[in-house]
Amino acid sequence: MSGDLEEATISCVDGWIEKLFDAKTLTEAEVVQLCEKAREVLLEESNVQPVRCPVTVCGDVHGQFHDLMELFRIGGNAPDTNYLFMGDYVDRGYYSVETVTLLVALKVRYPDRVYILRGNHESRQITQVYGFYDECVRKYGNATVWKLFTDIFDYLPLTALVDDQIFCLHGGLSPSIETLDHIRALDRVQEVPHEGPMCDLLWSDPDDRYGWGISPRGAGYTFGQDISEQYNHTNGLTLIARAHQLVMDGYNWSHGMNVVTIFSAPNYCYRCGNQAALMEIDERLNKTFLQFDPAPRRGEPHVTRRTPEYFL
Amino acid sequence: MSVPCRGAKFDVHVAGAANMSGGLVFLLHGAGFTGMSWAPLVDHLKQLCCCVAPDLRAHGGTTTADDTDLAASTLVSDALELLNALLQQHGTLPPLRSTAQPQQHQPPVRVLLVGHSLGGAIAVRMAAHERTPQQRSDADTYCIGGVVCIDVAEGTALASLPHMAAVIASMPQSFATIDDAIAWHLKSGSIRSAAAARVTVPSRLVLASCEREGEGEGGGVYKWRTDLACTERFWEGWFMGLSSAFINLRIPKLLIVAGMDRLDTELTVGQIQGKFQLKLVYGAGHSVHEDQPQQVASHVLAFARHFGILNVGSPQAEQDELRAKLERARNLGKPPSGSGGGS
Repeated sequence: MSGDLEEATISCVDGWIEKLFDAKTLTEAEVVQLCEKAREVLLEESNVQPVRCPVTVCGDVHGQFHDLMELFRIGGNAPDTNYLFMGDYVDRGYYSVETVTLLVALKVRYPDRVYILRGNHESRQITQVYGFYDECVRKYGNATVWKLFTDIFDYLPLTALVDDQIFCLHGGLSPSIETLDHIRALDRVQEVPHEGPMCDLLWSDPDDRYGWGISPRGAGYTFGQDISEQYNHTNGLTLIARAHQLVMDGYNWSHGMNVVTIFSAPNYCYRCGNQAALMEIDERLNKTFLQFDPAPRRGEPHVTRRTPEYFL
Repeated sequence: MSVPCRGAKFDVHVAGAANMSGGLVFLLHGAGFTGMSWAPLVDHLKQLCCCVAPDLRAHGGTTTADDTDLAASTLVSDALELLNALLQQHGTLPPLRSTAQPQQHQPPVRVLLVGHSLGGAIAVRMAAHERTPQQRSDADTYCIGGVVCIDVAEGTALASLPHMAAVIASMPQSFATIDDAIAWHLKSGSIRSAAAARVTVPSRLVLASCEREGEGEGGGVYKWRTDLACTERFWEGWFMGLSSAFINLRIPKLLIVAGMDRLDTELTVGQIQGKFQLKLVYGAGHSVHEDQPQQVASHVLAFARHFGILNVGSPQAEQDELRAKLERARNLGKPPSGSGGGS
């Protein structure tokens, strides 16, 4: 069972975690071992993974490793604090490798205290465009580590359910899905498809307009407050917690408190000027939001933007 | 073909399906380019839809009374009126209207605007003029269904303006032969595809008058059609306010860039908020559509199909498309037969 790691494994994974908290990468061989264990753990989890409170819910991280360290300073260290991350660990930031390795290692070490869901960036196709692939090749000299992680991404659960009440996922709802059982019935172990229910869960966004709309992103849908209310009512939920969209305060209520968006990458892409946030859910399901700013930078390459000689 | 409009004669390049029921792709080139800049891309589009690419004022074969006025507002008015003229004057431009029912009322032609660089800035301003479905009338000859911008971002463009004078000054004033000009474009990296350069470069040049031919041994005879240095006072106006105008358009929009570093802060925020679709094309310079026409074509077509912009003749296309998608999506969700994996 996922909860019972052997002593040898524990000390091995503890060693990796220590190294990772030091912002060092694992060797390729270590990543192979880590991903083998992660696969075993994730295979046990449901498409709608049950999670017990108290738990701290986090949104996009996007390879901003130093800000993830700040997140743990603000929210408390795992496993003293239970965590639920709602995807998008990689791409855009400069430390996708360190970020995703640490989160997967924490998942392996504390399977009942750390939960990691799949975001739309946990995909072979997207990571080849938005940076994770290039970063793996740069840091390891080949694409093996990228392959290992993207294979693991296929096993990440799509959604989580905190105490049968708070439904957590990366993107949003799907017109193909009315009940949680519909999600449970999906075959999730595959690359994120271009359309269909699994794609929608990772790509959709809440919108001010009622009903369903075609998403301007080119994948997933937009859904209105009527859809969220109906979904929560049908499934006996009090709240949909999701990530996927930058919100300037780090969190944002919408749809008459039926939906909350949480975004945990402060100053996204090192330029957007937004705050990040976490949502703490306590034993009584009370919610507290903790906002945080970018970690003070040390030894991080200064971001200079090349001015292209262009437009003519 | 030459199209009279606003007291000028616009040179317009037309290719592809003569029947407009599939929709119209209206392509706007960047500063210093011409409509021929789109030829490599149009090769991949013309089987499916009608493609129209004008030469802008002071560019290519277009002649106007005032070639010095390249203000954004003038270029936008040019493009809007030209589009209207093209679709109204079907007597003189037979291929541009559906021939099926020439006498009866026809639904507005669905238009997809595609603009590169300055052309992208014009396309966004054109689309900002677009009426809401409630404001549309039967008399409308077209409705803009979507916008594609290629490698243009306000913040990045404005940041590069201070360097532009030096960039222009470093360009050769003239070329002895067309081949020299093509070779220079490839060597300087302004176009990376030799095939594209052969098609698009000649239209950017004009044969200088004979009197000058004798001047000096090294003096070339092919000069730039458009004097970019003279347009400097308009540059800021082309790009100022562009990113928010793009993000706030209420119609589907696609931004195609050669690298993520092209995005300014506003577009970076807009992208992760899901306000528009973004595609990166690797292995391309600023002229993305000339360097990688096939990739750009597949992105444009996928975008147009996803949002039902082309191939459907009515302004209701997006709603119809949504209805059809929802129908399919709901069927996908129908009885979860048996047990799936993963639980």
